[in-house]
Amino acid sequence: MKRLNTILIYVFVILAMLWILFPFYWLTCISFMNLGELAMKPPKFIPSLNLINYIQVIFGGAIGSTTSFKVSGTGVTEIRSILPTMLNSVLIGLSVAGLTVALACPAGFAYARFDFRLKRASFYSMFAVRILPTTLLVIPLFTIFRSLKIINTHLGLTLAHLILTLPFATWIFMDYINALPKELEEAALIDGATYFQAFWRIVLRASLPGVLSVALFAFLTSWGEFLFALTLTNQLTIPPVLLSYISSQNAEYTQFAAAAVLSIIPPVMLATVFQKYLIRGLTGALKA
Amino acid sequence: MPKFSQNFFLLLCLITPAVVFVLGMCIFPAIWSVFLSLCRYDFRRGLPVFIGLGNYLKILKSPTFPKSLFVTLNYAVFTTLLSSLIGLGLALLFNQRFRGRSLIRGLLVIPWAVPWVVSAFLWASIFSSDFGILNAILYKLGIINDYVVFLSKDFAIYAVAIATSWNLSSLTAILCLAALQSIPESLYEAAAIDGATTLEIFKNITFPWVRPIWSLTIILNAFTAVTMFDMIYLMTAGGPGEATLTLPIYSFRTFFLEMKIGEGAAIANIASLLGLIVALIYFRIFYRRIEI
Repeated sequence: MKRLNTILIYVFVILAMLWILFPFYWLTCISFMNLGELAMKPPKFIPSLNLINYIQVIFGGAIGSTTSFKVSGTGVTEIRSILPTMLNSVLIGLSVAGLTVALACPAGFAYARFDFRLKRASFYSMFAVRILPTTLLVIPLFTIFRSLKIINTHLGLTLAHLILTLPFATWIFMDYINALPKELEEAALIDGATYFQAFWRIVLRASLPGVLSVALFAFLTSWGEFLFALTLTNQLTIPPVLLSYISSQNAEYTQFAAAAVLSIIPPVMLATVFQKYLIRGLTGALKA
Repeated sequence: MPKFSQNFFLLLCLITPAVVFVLGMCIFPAIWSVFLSLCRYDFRRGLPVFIGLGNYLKILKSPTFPKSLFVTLNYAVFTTLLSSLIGLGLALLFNQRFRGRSLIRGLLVIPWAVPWVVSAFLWASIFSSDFGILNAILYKLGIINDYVVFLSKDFAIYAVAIATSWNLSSLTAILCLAALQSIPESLYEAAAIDGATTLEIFKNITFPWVRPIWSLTIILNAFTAVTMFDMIYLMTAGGPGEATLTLPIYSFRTFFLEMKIGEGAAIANIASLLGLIVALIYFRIFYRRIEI
């Protein structure tokens, strides 16, 4: 009976790992293929290690074999290098993370420690706006950004992403502060620190894991965000550029797969390395 | 004794930036979107003109709207069920003892960290009728004679729901697993002394413990599904025909492709009512849990 149990557990663990990892297997396979191999019926389940797609995606279409040039109706179209886009994504992700920390941490601290009029009301209205679907926000934002002339700018997209991160980040950080003893900053005040010193040196330092989880959460959100990047910019970050690989006239699935593999390396690495902080932030805030 | 909470100036400094941002970037746009939905507006022809409820009446009368509403609910119910059940299952499984457990648990976070764009393509390449691996496997095994169109009129919405669940079940599992790990060992020991069966232990200890966080994830999943845009747009773009045209996609199509700004905003407003209903259920259940 016990033996059967153990076997069953391992069978299910294998099934679970297939469910989690199998989609990546096929994406990686496609990224090593060319269009001819992709169209084979049945396909090769274990592809040869051909890095041409990666080279094209990294350096642009000019390098590599002649297949990197796609002849479309008007002439030759080249595959764009994904590196400048990656740089944009990193820049915007870092700005979103920085601004989220700068706005959400003080606010989260205030909600945890202060009592003031409209505290509950303002806290809930922050979440009320977060539950608006992004498809609702994108329409007014598009018209507003258009009149402010910040369509297709780093600034515009950063602000738009901040809408997505700020409420939840405030919540995560409030939860962290709630877990810290009040005596921490009060002792610093007694020792003669000013209010700002106490907040800056004592509170922020003690809640560094919280700051880290807020920043990570913001960066990951920005990295993968699609709708705002698609509508408010002209392919500034990775998600809409990935789309452009498959929606262009000659579907470049194999290059897309290579670009997609490259684009998930940073978030997957960040999430696995720092998952302790992410999970602590998520569970803490949601269970609050 | 000096106290932080007595310094009003400090409070203002701490909270003003966030509040101003939320007012300017969220509340104002939300109001603006309601205003736009009451207007006839064309970018090429100057400013919005107020026309009252005209846009709403037009949408409610169009044959696409009830279809779209049905598709949205169908997708949301299926996605919520699938992702919540798989998520709970994964959490229960990964709470068992087996070799390599901590390493395998670490994998759970991966689907959650993958952007929707990539998830969509991962699953499109599984279900594809040209190069899908599901077709390839079934073909190789001789179960089908020719490649099947999985993203068809009847099945596409479920295919997208399965793909969405892959991502959502990961967060569900992470949160449920965290709850399971916090069950005190003494409860199980006591149960063992009393000679409780595995089923009894699950019914009386494990499930009640994980239930609050699980119901929370069910609501989160439902909300994500009702408002989902990325996954559907990227896998099927609402097609084939209008088979996967959920309200968010319908609104996007009306606004950005047909350039009917007022109507698009009106559909988006109706769609967010659905999200609001889910959120209200959430606050109804969890209002008392949140202490600020």
